[in-house]
Amino acid sequence: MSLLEIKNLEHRYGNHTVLAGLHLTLEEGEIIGLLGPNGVGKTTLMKIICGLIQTYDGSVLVNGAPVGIGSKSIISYLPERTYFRKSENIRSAIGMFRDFYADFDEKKAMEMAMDLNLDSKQKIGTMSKGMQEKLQLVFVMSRRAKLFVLDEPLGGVDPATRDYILHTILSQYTENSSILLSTHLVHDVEQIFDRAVFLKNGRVFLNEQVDILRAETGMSLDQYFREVYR
Amino acid sequence: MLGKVIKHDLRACSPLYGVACVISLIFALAAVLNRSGNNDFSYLRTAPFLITGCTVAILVLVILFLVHTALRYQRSMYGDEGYLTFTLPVRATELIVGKFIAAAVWGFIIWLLCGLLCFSILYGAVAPSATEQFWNEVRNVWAMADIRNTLLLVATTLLLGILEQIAVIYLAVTLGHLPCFRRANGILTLVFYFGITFAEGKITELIPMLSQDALESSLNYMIDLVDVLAFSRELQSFFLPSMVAILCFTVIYLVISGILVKKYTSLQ
Repeated sequence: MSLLEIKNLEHRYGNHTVLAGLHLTLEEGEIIGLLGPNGVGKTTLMKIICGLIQTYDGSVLVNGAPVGIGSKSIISYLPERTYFRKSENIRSAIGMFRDFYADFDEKKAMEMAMDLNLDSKQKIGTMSKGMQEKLQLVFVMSRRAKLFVLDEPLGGVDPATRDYILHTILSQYTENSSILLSTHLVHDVEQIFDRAVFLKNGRVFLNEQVDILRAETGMSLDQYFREVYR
Repeated sequence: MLGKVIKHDLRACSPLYGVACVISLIFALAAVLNRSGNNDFSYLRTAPFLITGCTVAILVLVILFLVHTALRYQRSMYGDEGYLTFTLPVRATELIVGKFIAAAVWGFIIWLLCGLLCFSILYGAVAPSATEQFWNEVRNVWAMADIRNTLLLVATTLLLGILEQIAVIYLAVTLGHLPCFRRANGILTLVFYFGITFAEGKITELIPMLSQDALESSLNYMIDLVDVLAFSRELQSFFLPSMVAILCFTVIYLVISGILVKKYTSLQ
């Protein structure tokens, strides 16, 4: 049974077709780069996998079951935007994650949050954008999820924050889980990918192990990305 | 999971409602304590201000509650917070019901406070020298079962009306954020809110006991009545079917909202 199995996925925004018969299968134990330029459907695909979009055609199975409570309890999602209430503080956010997610490691989350030199009673709305993104990543990676879905975790942050994010992802990753990470900043992250999935025209253009891709093309992932989307 | 949804939604609203309730309570207590002296003249200097304050507090509480209920639901379901809400391992039904119960709890607290403020307005307007007379009148009125029952019916209907408004707001926001509407969701929500209210009025008129003709006939009859007890009994015959209708509409709105959220969520 595959961790993620998508068949003939279609989704439209009004008259604009974003996903047009997409097929994708992902297995456990890989870090997968979901690659493509802006507007190709990366975020839409991730939202469908995580249950934020229900108006689609086709089949999406997570661990053999359709998207629902079961899949949400094993998927840890990091969206592009901050989803905590501005008036929420770290302690209450931890309480919420502890209540709703059985796989949430409260101690790990607290330790990682303290590493950021944050006061547990500090309101999230008073933090800088970069700090909010780091904090959100801490919460997401503190779960023992089977699938981590990270939507553009490196976008709009400074290089130091980018390093922190990559370090956190790698240090918290285990071989029992998979990470699906979308980005168009391929150069910064290609070294962590096991597999690359390229989207084009609403479909999967290429789904290949990164080592094999590099060997076959003689190019880095970033170079190949620029070639494909020129 | 339902309990957890209720717990976190109650907590999310507590800072704002807590402050509003405390301020209202201060006005209510001040209006009552203002009468503690025996001097009618000194009491009159501050009574109008405090009674006005209590009146304004009622208006602010009601408007604040309705507006905040709409904003809270919109933000937590269709704003950035929705990215967390819809990824929680919680059924759509539990989400809607949990949020409704949390809003209903705050609605009940505000209903109680409004009742206290109404009492403060009445009591605060009574001169200190007339205190004993006031309480005698209250005891006399409360002793009459028909009037007591009518007052309780009216209060209960108001409470149910608050709960129904929560359900109308939820349905209006849900309809205004359907995937087919990509823009102007706020305006659409308002349109749906007034549309649902209008449609409900029209459907209510089809119920014989609550039709326009029945209402006018009852009102004319009540105006002609000299007997207060008969008047209150006539009022009960109107409020009882109203309560049933309100409860039915509330359930229908929540069910439709749940179905729409389950099938048509699409966070942009």
